[in-house]
Amino acid sequence: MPGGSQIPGPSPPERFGSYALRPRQRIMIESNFAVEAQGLCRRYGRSWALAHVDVRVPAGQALLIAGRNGSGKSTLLRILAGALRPDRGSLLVGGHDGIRDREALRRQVGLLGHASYTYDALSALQNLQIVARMLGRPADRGSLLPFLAELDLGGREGDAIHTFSAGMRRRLAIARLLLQDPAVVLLDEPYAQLDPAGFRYVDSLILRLKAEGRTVIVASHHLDEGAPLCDLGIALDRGQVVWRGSGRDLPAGFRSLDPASPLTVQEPSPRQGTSPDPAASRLSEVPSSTVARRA
Amino acid sequence: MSQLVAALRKDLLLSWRSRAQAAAVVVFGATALLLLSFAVGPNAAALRQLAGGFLWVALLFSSTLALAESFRAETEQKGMEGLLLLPANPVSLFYGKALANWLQLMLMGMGLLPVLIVLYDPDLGRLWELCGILLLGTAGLSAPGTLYAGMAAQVRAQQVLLPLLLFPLVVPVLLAAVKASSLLLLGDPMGQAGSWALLLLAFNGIYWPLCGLLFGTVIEE
Repeated sequence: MPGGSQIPGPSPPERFGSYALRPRQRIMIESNFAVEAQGLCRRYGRSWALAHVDVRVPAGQALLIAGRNGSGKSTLLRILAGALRPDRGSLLVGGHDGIRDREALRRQVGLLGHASYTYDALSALQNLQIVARMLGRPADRGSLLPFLAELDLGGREGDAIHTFSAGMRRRLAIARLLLQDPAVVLLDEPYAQLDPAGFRYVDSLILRLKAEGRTVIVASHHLDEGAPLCDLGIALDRGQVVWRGSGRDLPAGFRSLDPASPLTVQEPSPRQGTSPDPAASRLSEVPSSTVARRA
Repeated sequence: MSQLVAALRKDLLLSWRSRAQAAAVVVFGATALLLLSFAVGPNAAALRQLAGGFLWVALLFSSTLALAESFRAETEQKGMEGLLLLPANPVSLFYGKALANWLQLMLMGMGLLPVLIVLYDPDLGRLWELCGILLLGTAGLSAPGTLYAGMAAQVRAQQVLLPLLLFPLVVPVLLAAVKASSLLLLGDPMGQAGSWALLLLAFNGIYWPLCGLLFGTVIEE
């Protein structure tokens, strides 16, 4: 569950120093959705990794993508990040055509992928300096150390990445993503390789990013952590959307990701007798659920 | 421009951090020169005659190792893909890496010169002009070499693919550099070395801009 991070660090405004986070108004979104993908298809060789996938996420909301290994989660995120071209379909991010204008897409989107996008031979600080210089931002030590301190990497800034554990590399990749300061944040297995404190940090990060008006898309196997934080959810199976709803209503079949359990799911039912669920009310904004039934 | 400078700094830093591998590549080139001298045998005149050619053959073989190594760091954790997603301009990334590779190949060439002197006993009366040919020749290897190394880094058989792609393309560089170097080492009564240097200059004038333009297409999926 979301909670305060165990990782020591100053409060957010001081934390980011000269990188004052973008207020919501700076994100110029012409579409009703921050991310609007329709009919995305992607083939690897003769097999389709994605088949006619639609994704719509309003600005400032979080979408959970659930699914087993090989269901197409990472392929979908890589297309949304501009790292892969879809074979078919359209993609609008912030009102820009993300397929024809990949530079505009990449300016708005940041991806925490399976790879850390770092250089093992260089130190943590040098890796962040490369990113800062590429983005034309201050690359001095004072501006970048807070990013490492927030991810509990303070004091290790001069160490080469090849001396880091897998969890520390993951933290550095998150620091790199925060430095990028994107309007749309794509998190591919953000809990992977992290310790319990790291889990809590990712929870608080998702909430913080949403509060800042950023759009968050999370693909995760750790559904008990990620799902309750997400306003919207989709489940993929063999490259197809087989369920839509809110993250907290994710069916048990997907929550356990048990290969033995069938992916037969029910339409999410509106909650009754409780206060209106804002996430459920937003379901009208996404296409109607598709239900897959596997024998 | 700022991205080009940032990319160059990054690649020089990576080259410095992997200097042990760079030294090993120079040793590989020196070994190639040694083996080629054994192949010719104890014939001082023949060794002197072939010194220019052997220098460039050793440099060409060594350059494939150095160029492939320059992309190893980019593929380990997908560093270059991460930069492209920032987004960084692929043209800047290309020129940063190509310039760093050029510097590295130049230093390799300089490192092989003392070995050449010891093994082949060439006449070094026009040493500075020979360094100029090294400068132009290594530039001719660096630009297409960086482009093809970027392409080959994305496939499994990169160690085989890179020479297969690169060697046919750099035949004009090899030809011009060997001719110019041999003329400078053996004597150039007709003043032909300048013409070969111009050929190298023209090759670089064509391939540096062309490879920069093509790099984005090559490294994107």
